[in-house]
Amino acid sequence: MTWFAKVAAVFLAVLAIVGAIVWVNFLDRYIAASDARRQIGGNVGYENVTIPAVTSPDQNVTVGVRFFLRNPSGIAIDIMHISYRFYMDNLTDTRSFAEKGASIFVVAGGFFPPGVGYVVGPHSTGIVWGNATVFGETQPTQLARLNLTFGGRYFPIIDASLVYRVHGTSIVERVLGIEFATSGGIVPYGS
Amino acid sequence: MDRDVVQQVLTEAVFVVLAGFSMGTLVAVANFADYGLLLGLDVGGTIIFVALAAGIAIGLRLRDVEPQYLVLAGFVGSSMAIVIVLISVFAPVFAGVVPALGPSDSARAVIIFVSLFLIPLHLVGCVAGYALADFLAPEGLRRGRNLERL
Repeated sequence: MTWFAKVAAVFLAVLAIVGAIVWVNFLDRYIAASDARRQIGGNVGYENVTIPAVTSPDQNVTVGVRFFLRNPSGIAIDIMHISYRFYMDNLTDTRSFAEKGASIFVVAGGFFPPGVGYVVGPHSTGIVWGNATVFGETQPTQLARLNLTFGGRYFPIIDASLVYRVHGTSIVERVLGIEFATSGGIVPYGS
Repeated sequence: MDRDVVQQVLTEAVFVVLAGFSMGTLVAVANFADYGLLLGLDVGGTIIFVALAAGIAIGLRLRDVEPQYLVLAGFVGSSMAIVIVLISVFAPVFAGVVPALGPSDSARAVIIFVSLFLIPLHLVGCVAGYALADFLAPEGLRRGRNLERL
């Protein structure tokens, strides 16, 4: 065998080894990311919503919304942000949500982690708080909308969206329409 | 068939498979750079470099065979590479994590289409390697045309 045939053989072997290593790594991430993208929409939701009792017209009220994100895939997910629009339902207004939405909107809020995001590891669950504050002194209309109870209970409606990145990739996806509504109402916190 | 011939054919077949495998894997990784942590490759550069380099290596190894077998080896190697690209594109479906891939059919069509460029580039590389092998071979072993005799 000539020297250049040996060099060619070594070159092909090295190229194949490098190819195999990067290909296996890529396949693992590609399959896991596809799994995550398919399942993430059904694995994000609400754990808890806390709304304090409003006791004075110039009170600052912080609404707390606790979200969960289950990651069933084999690759980590970075929560880039969760943003939501917070409404307080007026049960006496029988119009559809689309029609009365503007009149019952209270405040926008969310969870905005600094840096690259909040990492939810593979096969684990992340729980985060997304807060929104109504400043009674400067937002009296919003506070009045918020302070609407029926039978001593709030009936909030939340429409959230999640923006996440598949960890270690440049794949950014958005999950829209993460909705929260309650038929039983929420007891004001601290009342 | 002579046992040595069979052994040599099998040995060279292994290298053709290695060439096809390395072309397919690297082109697939280059096309899905979003997912890669280990290596960030440019698609066009990878197709040109890997196809030519693997082709030259195959041409250097197949110095003693008839040219038609060289072309056949080039076709087999590059076809294998395209099959690996196809497997890579549809890997989530084959793995059973998704029933069908998402709506970006055009992106997948582009990946499959650009991988077809491996065939001519690899063949060019094979021929170039074949000629290079003849040039590098010791004087007495050259197989090229004897122009003085003409």
